[in-house]
Amino acid sequence: MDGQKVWNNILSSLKTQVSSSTFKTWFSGSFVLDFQKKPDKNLLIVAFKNNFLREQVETRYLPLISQITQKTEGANIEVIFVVSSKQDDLKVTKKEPIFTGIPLQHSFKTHAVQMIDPNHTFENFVIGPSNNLAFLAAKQVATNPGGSYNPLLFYGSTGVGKTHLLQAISNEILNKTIESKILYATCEKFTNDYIESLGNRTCASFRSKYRQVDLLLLDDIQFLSGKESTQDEFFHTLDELSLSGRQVICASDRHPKELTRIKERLTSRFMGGLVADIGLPDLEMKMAILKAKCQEKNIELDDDVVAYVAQSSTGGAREIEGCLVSVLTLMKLSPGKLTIEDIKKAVFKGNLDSTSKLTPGSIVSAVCKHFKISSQDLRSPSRRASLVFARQVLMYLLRKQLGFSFGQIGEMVGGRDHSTVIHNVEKIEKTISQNQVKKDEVLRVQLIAEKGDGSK
Amino acid sequence: MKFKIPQADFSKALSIASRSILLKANLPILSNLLISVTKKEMTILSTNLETATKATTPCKTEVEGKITLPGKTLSEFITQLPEGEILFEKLGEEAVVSTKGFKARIPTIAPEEFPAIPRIDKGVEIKLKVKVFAKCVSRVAFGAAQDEGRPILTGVLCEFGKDRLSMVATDGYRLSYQEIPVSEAPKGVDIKVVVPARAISEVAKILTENLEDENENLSIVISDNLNQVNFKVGNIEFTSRLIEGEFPNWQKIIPTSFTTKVKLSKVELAKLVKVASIFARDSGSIIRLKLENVSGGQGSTLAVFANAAQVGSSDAQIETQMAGKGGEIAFNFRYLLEVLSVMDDEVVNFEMIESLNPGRITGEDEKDSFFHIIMPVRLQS
Repeated sequence: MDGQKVWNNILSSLKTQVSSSTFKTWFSGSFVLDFQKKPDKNLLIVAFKNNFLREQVETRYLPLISQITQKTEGANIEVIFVVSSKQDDLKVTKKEPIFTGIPLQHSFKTHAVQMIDPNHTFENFVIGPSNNLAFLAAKQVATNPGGSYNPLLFYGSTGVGKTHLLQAISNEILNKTIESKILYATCEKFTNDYIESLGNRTCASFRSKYRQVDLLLLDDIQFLSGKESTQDEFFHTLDELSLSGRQVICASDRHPKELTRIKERLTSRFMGGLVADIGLPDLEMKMAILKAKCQEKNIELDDDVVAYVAQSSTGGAREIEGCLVSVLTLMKLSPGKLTIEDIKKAVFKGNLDSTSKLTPGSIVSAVCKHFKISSQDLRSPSRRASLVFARQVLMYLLRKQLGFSFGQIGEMVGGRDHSTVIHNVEKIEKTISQNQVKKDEVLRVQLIAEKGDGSK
Repeated sequence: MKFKIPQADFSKALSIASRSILLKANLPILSNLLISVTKKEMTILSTNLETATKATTPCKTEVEGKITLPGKTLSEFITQLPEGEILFEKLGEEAVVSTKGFKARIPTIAPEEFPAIPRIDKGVEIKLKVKVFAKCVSRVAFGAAQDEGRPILTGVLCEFGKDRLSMVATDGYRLSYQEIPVSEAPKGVDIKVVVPARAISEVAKILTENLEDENENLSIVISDNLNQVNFKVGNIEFTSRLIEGEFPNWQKIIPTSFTTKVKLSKVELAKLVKVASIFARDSGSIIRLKLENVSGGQGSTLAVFANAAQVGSSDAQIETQMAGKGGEIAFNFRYLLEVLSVMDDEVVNFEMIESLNPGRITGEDEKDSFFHIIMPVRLQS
């Protein structure tokens, strides 16, 4: 019989006879080291973490334990206590090289610079035709901050590496000149700081924080949209910094001209500097990104797997990494070699299915089914409350899921104006961000559309 | 059980014995002290299941016996009492402690509950000077790792040879080493053990606080199966478990020679580092040291820099005596301050090779075996 099992049996009956804290203190770390079977009797060798525990158990609890042993396991077992640390503990200490001789990698933990990930460097940024301009501009700015392109603005959809570039610039500058003051903030942080400074009447310290830096990096400036007085503050900050030759770099998810509800003078300031576009990577670049990521993680992937993953992920670098992670998890979980087919089946099934089945028709019928209305109602000029909401959901889904233009959507809902559509989409976005019930409803409609039930 | 004892003696014995008390124990008995009284003396014992401390002191016994009671309450009470004789008596389940004008009744737990302290049946005994030992511990043990991630590094490696004891502690970023003479050891002794740093520091603390005679000998007994060590001096005894496992090969990482060496006043160096630390605190505790020969003239300078984006930057320098070509190196300032705080030399030596090789700090005396190695921080420039 297994020694550990015998000991566990003994322990469980012991547990009923002593207080739980006693049990925890003395017996919780014990384990069976060996179970020797001899002709006359069996030896159960139990190990404790240190001599103090062993001594106590032996002097105080041995009689009780032998009594229990006899009752539960029969007379021919003798329990012996020794001191030993667990096998795996020992292994850990032996395996790891302790003093590696490699100096600590220096990472800044400044309050503000804290958000900069030291792993975002130019070295591990994969360059391709879609981001060539942005990369060169970033390099140029890093070597000559404030000199060449000021302000510099990167734009591109999510996950293409805007933040990476921004942080690579600051890392590069930090590494070169330890004295430079760098401030990296998201636009949301800038806004919050500004609002806070208004509330606490600490405008002066807010200004000194943002205006006394050598390099200001502001991420996600599309969030400035509609925040008029924050825009003013940012405008003045931008002016002061760039006039005194200090660098400002921003990132946004669209071209400054397309930013809605941003003041004209701010847009023109951006246009006055360099606006560099980062596009979605093409296939070769995606493969290069994947290979770089694999190298980072110290793994090797077959070329065909890399190619497949690159093909099947449609978004930017972040999405590619997500796909890679799921492939790796799959490989870890399954023994033996994985074929491409396996990967296709397991990893991308959900992805492909959900996107492939959505059509304008399925969304329309899903909306109709869910709200129990006809498709004519959707196109009718009626403004009954229930119809209005259904129409909004339809417009929202067409916009978000299929990326239709506002004009197209307007056509589909009975020739409405594109501004009406914009208004409605914005309205429902606001509603579902505040109202969980409505959000669930939209999700349910989407689900129906994806399943294709609506068409039947 | 009933005995009388002078307040000063009782208080001192308690302060020693409470060292091993476990304040937040699952088991209440572990925050208790075991007091046992024999004909002539009283023994106080505490244990936290990793270490045990025992202090013995003479007393006037009326009735012999054993008792356990909460250590913290008792020591706090006794230290507050005025000088004079204290009467300690067990009445029912309570201990009554009284002196002129003061009286306390403290609940007790049966002495049978108190854990048995393992004894070393067979072991090797080594003797060395208390003062030398305590100083060595204070200069080495702080270098051990704090976190339990690599258990072996939370200990101090003690290598006992025939006439010397060497101690090493490292946390992977810095390393402290010292060798001290042994006054008495069995022939051909060659033992390597790893003592928990916390335990060995406790021993050193107890010893320095209660040192009566400069030349007193400390007796160290290591059990034959290498799982326990016992320190004994006069009427104080301290027992600790040993850490199992193999200590990493630390000699490998020590550079055999250094190319640059400066002599510095310890106070001045500490001052420079402290000034820089004000600015380094928010930027990963990194300070930069720059050693260079003054161009054209004689002599050389040591400059210490630090900066943080929001706090500002500092640049401080002193003139030094330098041998070698100089260079630049960056450290975590805490490591520097810690080693400087344990050294009592007036002048210290700092040695380095390149910015990515470990730096070394040694004491003034050439014969002093102490050295401290610190790994630099990588800085791209």
